[in-house]
Formats: sequence, structure tokens, C-alpha cells
Amino acid sequence: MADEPRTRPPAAPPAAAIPGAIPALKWGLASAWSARRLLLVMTACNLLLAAVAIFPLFGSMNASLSHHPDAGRLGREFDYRWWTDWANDQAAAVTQSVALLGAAGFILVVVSAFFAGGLLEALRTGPTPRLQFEPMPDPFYRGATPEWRAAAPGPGSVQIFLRESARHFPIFLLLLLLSLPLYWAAQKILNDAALVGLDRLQEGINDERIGLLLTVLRAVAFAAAFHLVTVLIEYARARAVLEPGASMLSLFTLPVAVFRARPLAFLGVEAAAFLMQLAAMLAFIPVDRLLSRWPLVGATAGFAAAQVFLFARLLVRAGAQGAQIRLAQAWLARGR
Amino acid sequence: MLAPSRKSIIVVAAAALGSLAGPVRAALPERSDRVVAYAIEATLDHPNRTVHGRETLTWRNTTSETVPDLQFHLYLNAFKNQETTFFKESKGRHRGFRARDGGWGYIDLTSLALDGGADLLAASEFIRPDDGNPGDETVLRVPLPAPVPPGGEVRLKAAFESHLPRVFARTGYKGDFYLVGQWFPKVGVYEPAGLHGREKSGWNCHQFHSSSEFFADFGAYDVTITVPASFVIGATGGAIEPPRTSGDTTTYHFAQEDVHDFAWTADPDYIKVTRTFSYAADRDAEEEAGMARIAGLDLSQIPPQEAADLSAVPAAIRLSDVDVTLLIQPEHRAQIDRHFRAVFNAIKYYGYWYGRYPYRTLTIVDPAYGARGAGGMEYPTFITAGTSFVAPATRWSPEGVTIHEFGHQFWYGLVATNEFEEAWLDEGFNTYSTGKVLEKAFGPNHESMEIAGIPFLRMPLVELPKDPDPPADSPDRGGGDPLTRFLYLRWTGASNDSLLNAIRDLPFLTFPADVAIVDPLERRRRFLRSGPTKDQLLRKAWEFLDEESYAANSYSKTAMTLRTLEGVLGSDLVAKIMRTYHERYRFGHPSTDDFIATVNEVAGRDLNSYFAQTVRGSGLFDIAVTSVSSEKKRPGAGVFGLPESRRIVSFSEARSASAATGIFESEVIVRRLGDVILPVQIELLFASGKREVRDWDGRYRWIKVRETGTDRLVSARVDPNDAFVLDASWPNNARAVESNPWPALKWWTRFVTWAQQVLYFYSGIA
Repeated sequence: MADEPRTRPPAAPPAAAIPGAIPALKWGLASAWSARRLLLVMTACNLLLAAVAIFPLFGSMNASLSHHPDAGRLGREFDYRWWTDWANDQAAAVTQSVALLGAAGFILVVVSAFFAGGLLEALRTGPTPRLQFEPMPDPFYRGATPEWRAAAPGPGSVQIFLRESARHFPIFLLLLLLSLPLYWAAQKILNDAALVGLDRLQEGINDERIGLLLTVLRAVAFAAAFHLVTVLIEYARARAVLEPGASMLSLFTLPVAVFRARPLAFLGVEAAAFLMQLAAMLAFIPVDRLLSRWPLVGATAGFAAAQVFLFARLLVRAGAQGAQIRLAQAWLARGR
Repeated sequence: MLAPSRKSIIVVAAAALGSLAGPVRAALPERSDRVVAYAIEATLDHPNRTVHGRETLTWRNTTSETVPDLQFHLYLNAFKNQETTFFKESKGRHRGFRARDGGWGYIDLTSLALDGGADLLAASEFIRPDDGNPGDETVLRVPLPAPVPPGGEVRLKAAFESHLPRVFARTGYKGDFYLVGQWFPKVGVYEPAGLHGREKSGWNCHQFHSSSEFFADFGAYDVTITVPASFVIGATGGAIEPPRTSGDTTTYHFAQEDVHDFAWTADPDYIKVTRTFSYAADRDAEEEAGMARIAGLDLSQIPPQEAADLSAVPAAIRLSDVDVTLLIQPEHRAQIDRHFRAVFNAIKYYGYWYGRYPYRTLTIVDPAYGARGAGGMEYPTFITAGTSFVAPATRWSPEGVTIHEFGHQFWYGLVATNEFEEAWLDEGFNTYSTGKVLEKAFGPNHESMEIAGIPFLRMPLVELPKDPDPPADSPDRGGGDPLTRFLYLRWTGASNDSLLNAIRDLPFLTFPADVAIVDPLERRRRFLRSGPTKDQLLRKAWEFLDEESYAANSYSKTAMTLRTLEGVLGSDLVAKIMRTYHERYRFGHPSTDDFIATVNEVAGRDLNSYFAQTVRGSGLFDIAVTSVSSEKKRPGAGVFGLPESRRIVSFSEARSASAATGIFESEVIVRRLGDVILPVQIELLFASGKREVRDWDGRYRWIKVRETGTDRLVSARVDPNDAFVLDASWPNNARAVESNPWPALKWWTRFVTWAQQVLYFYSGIA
């Protein structure tokens, strides 16, 4: 049997300098696009779990609407009367669906932590050249080199992907667990303590505009802190993939180091990714409104457009993670 | 007292009112019974948040009984500590606002004596007529040395110190802002035996409860208020002399007759704007003609809109000019015109529909930021509204609250029912009439939130489980542990801004939208969400299961009940009923029985059963079309004909037989799912476009309607005119023979799309 080929391609050559946000993001997005089939699988997983969580509502919705004399109009435009009564009648089912959604979210958190290993391995190789020959339509792992693909059959790319994911999963699970107290701290500080503090501060504020500004800033601070924890873990994962065996402390110090080396690039990647997500939503909304005019089109083409929107969001997120890997690679290559 | 030039003289032509159906009062009453007269001198001690007061009260015994004592409301003591009835029931929160540590409020009666010197304080005692709670000191019984004979008077002098709370429930301070309500010792209402079903005579003087509001006798108020000179002040009634400044304080003198309460406000930051509602400039000739028609008046007496001479307008319809003062926060100055537009429409339409607003003045207060607990409240000729800096012009805010609080002048203020015992007669009646004014003057409301194309009225998608014991010091409204809050998508903490609260926690695809909502729909939504069978509508305010049930029944269900009454009787007849009720009982303290009697009289029929079910019962009204079918008549299987011409048809032959002569056998099953019985109409729609209406009394639990003919039945509907707003479920009111799965699929996929955004968020965690 041929030697099992290396499952990890060689690291990218040392960069002359840590790139800026835009070059890093471009690189990351190109890498993410190369792994688009994997992102399609993630979209499908998301859809499956969402459908399972919301499925209990379909029966009651169908019972309420299918035989309604105004079904055509109710399918085209929102009827608040119907919504009020249906939502009230089905309050228990809606509550149950939210709980199911939470459970699905929990599953997705763990599944995402598992698949992250394989995804990051795929992203680290950067944009791969388009192959002349595709042995099989394989959604997973595009990290193998063309030479390997042309070589004697080895382990399938699905197996490579799962193996990479499994290899990184223990450390990624540990990072997930370590993130929980950080999220909790953000909650306690900015949603509990700051809320009380701000409330006391506002005793001396008479102008609503100032009060509103402070309130918005607090909420934004919480959202930023929450996202900061996520970014911290994402960089930690990146280092775990780039330097297997690195210490836990070094995993967490990487984002700090990258920030200190290129703060604008560090923040720019996150800001640009957020703006791209916003742009995707703003592009989706008019399409959605157009397609939702007709029940059948809304349920089919409109639904498909929503999946394209979600895919775009996953692509942007993966692109940001790719950019993080690029920044981390460059920082590591510079020898600290 | 008021100078003669300021007295409002209301003269209504007897002939005009005599044309209304039924034995109505000959004219709108000019004045109240004036049972009480208060003369109060108040000084605001700003650093100590205290009002020092001296009060002279004259109380007249208008009953035929001898009264041995007086009972006083000391409402401010409700905010004294956590042992009071108010705090025990509310857990320190009121309409979403909370009490703050150190912000306690109470009233100290430092002296109480007869005018003539006999001390009354020593023998006085706190009583707890409602719940026996020893920690409650909101009712003071004062034995008199000599009882007051029928028709007699007693005059007392009192000195008191009102320590104002940090405002969270209507009254108090925040920073330099003061809203001073329920701040002085106020005598209760003495009721003779037989009145409103009383078995024996006595005081109607309830403790201050979390859900209750207020009840007092009509009288005259003469109040001088001394505040720091930099403060802008507003109060019940009008100023009867120019303010006098002495040193660093200014003294104002207000007076008003024929009211049953007095409140005031002070804040150096107010912008004060005064405009006059001018009947001549703001009249609506079309509305006048409509009311004239309902009242049976001569329509030719109504001049056209552009007429300059309005002397021919019947006095029953003519309105008075009103000086309206708006005290508004500087950051809301852009909304000044909106407030005036709202209140002018309210003065106009409430006046047309129920009888002119009889007072010369009205003051509207916009509470300071952080003091919204003082907003949304009514006092005679003085209302608190409240608005936000972010107030889109398409939404009913501040218009809705302004119109609503003004509307209370007609129910709480002029008819003056007992808000402790029959809150629906004020809150619900006003909710009903507020909705009508808003529709008349502003069209549908436009609310603001949408999730993946699904609009909702700034409420969370799912109600958080109620926290039975929310943290006392937390500005958040509580509700679940952190994990529960996270699961229920309440990710960030609460804020003082309701719009921000609505959008703060929701994922992508949540954005402001423009959805037209008409008032009855909002009432139904609130009522149905609250657990509609928790209580019956008519109940003492503190005896509802919870505050949510009190609000749902007293406000929403009442409005829906009156709207449904329009469906039963017609809107014109209900308009006549409401007008008659208001005119007859202005200054009258009526009860539920008085209103129902008025309805029966004006409608000319017995509607006791309707009110027994909707007001004195807790059942739901729900009629549903549960089955609709229309099938071609086919020959059946079996043995047919006489022996000489007998034929036998098998099952298979019958199934395969072609349709007979195009005859359709249609059947509709309508069921009464709720407990309330009302007659309804059932409308059948056929393929040819023909509509047939059948009447059903709704008494039994179901009815089957069968129809055989050449026309295929397409659908069936109950209550085709959507008259029964009380119906607990509208979607089941109609059913079609054919089914169409696409609407459900489309909306379900939208929910899935939204859920996907939520899961996207979760998948990004660490």
C-alpha cells in the first residue's frame, strides 16, 4: 500500500510582513471559497436543525391556513389578525420550538467545534488552484495537494476531513469550555453590573439623548465584548492548527500578540467581516420582499434565496477565520 | 374661588336633549354636588423632597344619615416601606418601573383639629378595611367629637409633611422634576345604605392597592404652591392671580371647582407652551351632523364647515374653547405640535360624542427622563403623558397616551366611577373611546418591528417566564436565570427605552417595519396573551389574579366588549347609549348597574344576558366553522324500486356512477367552542358568487347547515361583518372546501429562515 500521504500540507512560506486587514481578508475569503462545498454542508446542517426545531409549528399553521377562504391573500400579505390569534393559540408550541431551537443551538455549538478542525485545516492552505480533474464530487477537505489527488488512491478526503476534525476536537472542546467563563464574565460585567451602574448614573441625567446614548453604548459594549471572546477563541484555534502541541497559554496569547503587532489589521478584519454580513442582509431584504409576494414563489424561490443569504454569511465568517489564520501565520513566521 | 368671569356656564337646550330616545336628563349638569372644599397651602422643600402643607377641609354630609367619623386616604404612605399593601402586592414594581432604595415616600400628619380647636389626631387610627394588613397606613379613621347630622358640615384643619418618593408609581421626584399627586389627606366617600348595593351606610375608603386607582367626592380646590423661583409649575385648574416672587421662591395660586382631586408638577427644565383650542377654528361640521342625527336633532341647525356664525349650533353639540398648557422636556420640543394636535382632536371628539369638556383649562405634562413612572396618568384638568426622543411620526406615541389621558377627564373625571371597585367603567370605557378617536383622527397605528417578514408589536417573540421575585435593586424587569434568558433570546440587558428593548436581542433579519395596526386588534392581542379566563371583568381592582389580568380585563376586554356591543346593536345606537350615559351621570358616581340600565333603556331591549356573560362572567366567546363539504350527489348502492321494477346497485357500481344531474350536497358544521352565547350569522358562499346568510342563536353547542342545489359551496363564515371583536379566535371563523398548502408553507419557511439566523449565532460561539 502506498505510504499514506501527508495529511497536512506544508505551511505557507514566511511572510515579509503581517498583511493588512484587506489583503488578509481577501486571502481568507478566497480560502473560504475553495472550501465552499464544506460550507454548503454546514448550511444544510443549519437548515436541518432549524427545520427540526420549527417543525412542530407547521401542523398548526397548516390547520389554521390551508382551508381558510382568504388563503390566497394570507399567503401574499401578512395578516395581523391571523398572527395574533395563531400566536396566542399556539403559545405553548412556540415556546417549545424556542426550547428546541436552544437544544439545536447547543448541538450546533458542539458540532461546529468538531468540524472547525477540518475547516481550519482547509483554510490554512489558502486558495487552491482549480483542479483539472475531480475524482469525485466530494464536499469535504480540499487541503490535499493536486499531486496527492493524482496519486494512487489513499484515504478519501472525507476521511481526511473527519480525521483532522477529530484530531483537533479535544483541544477545541477544551477551548469551548474555557470560553464559557469568559462569556459569563462579559454577561455579568456588562449586562448585570454595568446595567445597575448605568441606572444609578442616569439618576443624574435629565436629557434623554444622553441617557439613550449611554444605553446604546452599553449594549454595544456587551456585543463587542461577547464578540471579543469569540475572536479570542478563534485565534486560539488558529494557533492550535498552525502549531500542534502549542501550550494553552500560547494559544491565548496569540490574539494579544497579533493585536499588538497589527492592531488595525486585527480590528479591521472583524469590522470588515461585520460590514460584509450587513451588506449581505441589505442585499437579501429586497430580494426577499419581492419573492414573498406570492405564496408558492415565497415558499420555494424565496426560501432558496434565504439559503443563499445564509451561505453568504457562513462564507464571510469562514473568510474572517481565514484572515485570522493568515495574520497568525505571518506573525508566527516573523519569529515573534 | 374662581372669579365670575371664569365660571363655565353650560346651557343645553332642553328641546335638543329631549329628542334623544328615552327619559334623559334635560341638560348637561352645570356643576357637581360639591361635597368637599379644600384650601391648601403647600411649600416645596426641594432639598428634602418634602411638601409642607396646611389644609382646611370642609366636608358636607349629603346623606340622610348621621356620620360619626371621617375616613381619609393617606395614599403616600403606600410608599413608606415594603410592608405596605401596595408594596406587598406590587413587589416594588409598577408598570415596569421599580422602587429605589432610599426613595421611600410617606405623609406625616402633624396636626388635625376641628376648626375651633378640638384635636382629632389623638383619637385617630389607621384602619385596613380591605386586607387587615397591619403594615398599611393608607387609611386613617378620625372619630368626631360630635357626629355630622344630615345636611350638616364639618370643617377641619390639618398640617402635614408629604415626603415624596423617588417616582416610580405616578407620584414623586427625579432630580429636579416633581409630579405631586395623591399628596394631601383626602377624605373618602360616604355612601348611604342601598347605594350601589350597600347593605349599610359607611365610608367607601379603600387602602391603596397595586392595581387600584382612586375615588373621591366632587368639590372645590383652592391651592397655593410655593416652589423655588427657577421652577416652572403646572397644576389642576387655572392660576387665579399672578405669581408672587419673594426671595428665591415663587408662590402660585390655583383653583378649580367641580373636581375630585388636585395634582401639580414642577421642574426648572420644562418648556411651557400654551395654545387655545378654539371651537370655531377646530370644529368638524360633518361630525356635528352625525351626532345631531344620532341625538335626533334638527340637522339644518348644523352650519357648514366654513360658516362664521355658529350661534345656531345646538348647545348639546357646541364645544367650548379650552386653554391648553403643555409642559414638555427640552429634548422633546420637536413633538410640541404633535401633542397639541392629539389633544385638540381629543377635546373635539370626546366633546362631540359625550358632551363638551366643561373646564376652561387643561395641563399636559411630559415627565423628565427617568421619571416615566409619572407618565400616563390622569388628574382633573391635568394629565401626564410622556414620550421618547425616538418617536416616529407614524406611530401613536405620544398621540395615543395624550388622547387616552385626556379621555379620562370624561370617565374618571366627570362621571367619576369608583376606580377601586369598578375599574372597567373608567379604564375600559376610555380605552374604547381612545381607540375611536385615534382611528378618527390618525388612522391605523404603524408599529415597528419585523422578524424575517413577520411583524410584531415590539414584544419579545416568546414571553420570558415570569420571575416571581425579581431582584429589588435591578433595573432589569427580571424573568429567568441567565441560561433561560439566553435560551429565550434575551441576550442583552434592559434599558429605559422600549424601542431599544425590542430590538436589542434579536438576530439578523430583525428590523423596523411599517405595519398598520388598528386599535381593536391590539386590544385583542393583549387580552388573549394575558390568559383571558383568569378573572371576570367586573372585580375589585386588588382581587384580580394578577396585574396582567387586571389590565387585560379592565382595559382590553372592556373595549372589546363595547366594540362587540356595536356589532350587536349597531354603532349609532351604541353612540347614543354612551352619550346618554355620560350626560345622565356626569358628576354622578354611577355603577355597573347604572350603565347596564342605561343600555337597556336606550336600546329598548334586555341585554342583561350579554353583560352577565361578558362583564360578570369569565367565559370566552368563540364560534368556529369546523367542517365544510360540498359533494356531488351520486346514486347510492342498495335495492331500489317496487318488486316489478326493482333494481339492485352494488357499491362498486355506485362509486363508478357518474354524477347525477349536477346536484351538490353541501354541509357546514358550526360549533360554539366558548361559553358565551351570542346569536351569530352564518354566511355561505357559493361558486356562482351567491351568498346566503343564516341566523343561529348559538345556544346549543353546534349546528349543521345543509344545502342541496346546483350551486357548489365554496366556503362558510360566521360573523361575516367581523362585529364580534370578543371572539377569541378569528381564523376559525371561516373555512373553505378546498385546501391550499402554500400559505402555511410560506410562513413556516419564514420561521425556519429566522431560526437559521439564530442557529448561525450559536454556531459561531467559541
